Amino acid sequence: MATFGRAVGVTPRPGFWGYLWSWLTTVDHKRIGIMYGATTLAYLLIGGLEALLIRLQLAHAESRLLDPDTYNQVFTMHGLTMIFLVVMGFNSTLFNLVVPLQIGARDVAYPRLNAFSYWMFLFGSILLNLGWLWGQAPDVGWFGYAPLTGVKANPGLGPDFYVMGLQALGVSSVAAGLNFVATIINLRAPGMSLFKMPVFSWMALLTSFLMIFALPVLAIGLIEVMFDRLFGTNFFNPEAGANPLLWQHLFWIFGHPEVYILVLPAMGVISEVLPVFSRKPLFGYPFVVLSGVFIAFLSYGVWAHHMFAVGLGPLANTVFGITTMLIGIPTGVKIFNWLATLWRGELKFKTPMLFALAFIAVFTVGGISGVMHATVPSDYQQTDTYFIVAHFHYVVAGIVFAVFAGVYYWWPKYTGRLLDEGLGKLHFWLFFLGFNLTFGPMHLLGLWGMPRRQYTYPAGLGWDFLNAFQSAAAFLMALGTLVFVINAVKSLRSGAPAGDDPWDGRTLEWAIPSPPPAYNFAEIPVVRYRDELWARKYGPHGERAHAPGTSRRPLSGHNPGGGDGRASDNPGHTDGHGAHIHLPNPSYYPLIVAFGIALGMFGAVMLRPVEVGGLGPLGWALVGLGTLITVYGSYGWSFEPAG
Amino acid sequence: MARTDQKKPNPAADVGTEQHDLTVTYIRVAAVLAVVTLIEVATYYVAMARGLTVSVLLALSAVKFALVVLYFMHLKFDNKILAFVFSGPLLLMIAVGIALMALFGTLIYPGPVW
Amino acid sequence: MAQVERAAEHYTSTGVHPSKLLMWLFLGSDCFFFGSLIATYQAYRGQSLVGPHPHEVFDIPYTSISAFVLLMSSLTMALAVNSIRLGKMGATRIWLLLTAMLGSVFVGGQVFEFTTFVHKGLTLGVNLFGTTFYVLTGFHGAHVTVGIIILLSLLFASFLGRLTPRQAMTVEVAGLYWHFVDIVWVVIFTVVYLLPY
Repeated sequence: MATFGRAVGVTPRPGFWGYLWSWLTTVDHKRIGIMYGATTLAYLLIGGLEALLIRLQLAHAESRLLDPDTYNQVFTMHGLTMIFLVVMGFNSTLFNLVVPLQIGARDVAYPRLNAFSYWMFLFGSILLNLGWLWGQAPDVGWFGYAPLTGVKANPGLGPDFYVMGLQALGVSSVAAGLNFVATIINLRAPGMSLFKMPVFSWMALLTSFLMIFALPVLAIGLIEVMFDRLFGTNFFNPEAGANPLLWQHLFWIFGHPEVYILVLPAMGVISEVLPVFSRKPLFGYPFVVLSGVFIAFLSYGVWAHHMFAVGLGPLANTVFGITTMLIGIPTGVKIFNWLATLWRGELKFKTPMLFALAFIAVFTVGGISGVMHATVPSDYQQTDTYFIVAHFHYVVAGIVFAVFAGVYYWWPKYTGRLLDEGLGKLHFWLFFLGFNLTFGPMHLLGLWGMPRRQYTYPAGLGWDFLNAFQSAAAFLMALGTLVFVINAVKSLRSGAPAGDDPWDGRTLEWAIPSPPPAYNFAEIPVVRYRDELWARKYGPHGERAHAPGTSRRPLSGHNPGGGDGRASDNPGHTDGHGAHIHLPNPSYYPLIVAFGIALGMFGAVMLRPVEVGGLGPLGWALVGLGTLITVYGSYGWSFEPAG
Repeated sequence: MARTDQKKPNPAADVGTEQHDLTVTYIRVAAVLAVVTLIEVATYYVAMARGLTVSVLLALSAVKFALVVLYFMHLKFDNKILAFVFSGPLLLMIAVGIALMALFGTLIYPGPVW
Repeated sequence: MAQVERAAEHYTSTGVHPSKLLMWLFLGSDCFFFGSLIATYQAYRGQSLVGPHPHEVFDIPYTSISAFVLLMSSLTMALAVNSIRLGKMGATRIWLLLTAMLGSVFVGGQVFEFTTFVHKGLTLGVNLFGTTFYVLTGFHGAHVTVGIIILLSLLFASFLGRLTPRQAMTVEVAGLYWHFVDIVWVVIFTVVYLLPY
């Protein structure tokens, strides 16, 4: 425990409890990022286990390994876990760890709000999973279509945990989104105009906007489901003349921007890794950035492509078919710019690079099947089959490649240690092979008519072999992930020290020690160029990058090839050790407020009748208690003296 | 080239600046708001073609909306970033809302079922 | 409070006060929140299979007055911000109190209005109109109530000496929230009450 603390740059206080308290009250973005990372990793393993259960069930026709009820819970939780807890969790991890350093800031704009986002994330994830304890985890698919979520079709607690778990996670994301927009807009180092900012931070900005502006729509949809279940409203009640399709609309108006919330940070990671491991600047930076902006806006105009087969009519289908094809264009622009970055680069095939290259390949495949879905008549055949499952795993599970690229790339910075290259490559090949052998055949199965969201299938339809094959292949991915966990543990225990700049990086986070000191930069740097660190090391146009005698050297106050060699050119290294820098005080109010909100939301679930596992009207006591705690925490937060 | 921790000073523009007394402006705006509300209610009672009623009412409420945002919320005089950050989502939501109404058949409103 | 004033002294890349930026972003997100509720109302407009229907319950003169009250509360709020920027704490307190009072009149008026509707048979679950109407206006009323609590907290803080002209930005940011809640009502009043069915 203490060694981990030292590894991440924090000196443990005396005693275990003092150490724990320091984590519970931290407002430091780096520690918050680590907490997000640890939580995300745990859910990656849980979600992966859920995936393996699905594959075990589907390995044989007419299998009864899992009964239909259990299967519905497992596949619902697999989707919810992977989307909301793993990918979004990983994005939050990276935003917290990387963004303030890349923009040359000491922390985010609202450190306590940042801590609140994490605790809300943790409690929300627990609330979402709490249903397992009742044997009633959400079982309505991650998309929760009405009227299946109605109290008539689903009297148990599953949909209630679904609604409240997602609401809690939504609060976390909106708070984080607000914080990171404020941070990126207002706390950039002097001289760093938006068009000099690293692409990852740009994508973080766009993702944060999307989070703020998409989650409220989901919140309303969820409120409507909850009110129907608890208070007898008629939002999705056909008997009162309502249209259950309203849920689908509201959900996908959120849902399509949501998938761009998932993928834009991943694209940001790729845009950081490729230039470093090609030793070339990103090709077409303005185009990559503007494509991201277009994608963010257009994402609000395509949602009904998830609904082509519900009967909206040819006009609606045509319009959304066209907009969906249009949104493929900016993504294509990014891919071509990445390829151009690689072209004639001095390529270094380290593990981060391998994962980044695989992401491009895998995402392109997923993008192509996406365009096939956008062709409305084709989609009439493909929808609700495994062809769709193939598509979204190639794009969304494809994001996992970018996740690992980011992990292997930034690991040394925050732990001060290197991950083992050999194990990394083993992880990569196992995962890449397993991924393609698992999800590739799903295209065929889909075209052969195998429907999705079903717990089993009849024998003799020609689907048997591929299903068994895919299930076996899934274990290769699991094995690869296991190799990663071993690598991570090994690195933390006895990995080689990383130094400040193990990859010869281009952006400011590599200019400070690994792990970074609490205050990040001893002096906030003044930025003059895009890829500011590369310019300081090798000149504004990288002229000295290939001069003889300037082999890559970690910056440690000595820069014989560039600048004038004075320590003050290196933002992380001055003799002051940041003694004059004020950091914000730790606080326990974020934790208290998050707990209060989560408790209140749990209380709302418990309002359901005792026969199904709730507490009935006694639930109001929990709601009331949660509200009181929230109010108390909010006042404490507002009135406590800061930093 | 030694740098201290002093960046280009760019403090939030509205701290410590000279403040003008805006009382008269606010009262004028409030008066206009009151009058427009009166006209809106009058429009409700005056019998005219449905399309005309709808257009007039929407236009009048847009005027009230704009007056509060621009003057009471000071957006007319503040940094353009704030205007961008608010009008972006506003316009986007209006567009999505119109699309939803079209999809549910209530945009070109056929009248109630009762 | 202390947090706000400290941020104001810090460097910002754009010159925009961080709390102000945060509130405008939040209001942008609230546009989607209320927009979705209004869109739901509009999706089901005129679709109720049974009554009561809007024209059977609405009292337009009554609601017009409460709409006017809320608009005037925006005036008093703006005057509160104006006063604290001019350093006049006494006037600030009065305007804050008036705003909270006008807001309370509005909420009280709504509660009374809803009880009359319920007496006429319009409940949450009776039809689509009841469902969409109460949830939309209910969430708006909840937003107003939170605003009143915030205003009273600021008033209380000023009596404790914790709210001084140095915290003018806090009052301004609270004002932004209050005005937003008012303009949402401008939209709801027109769309729900005035537009022909």
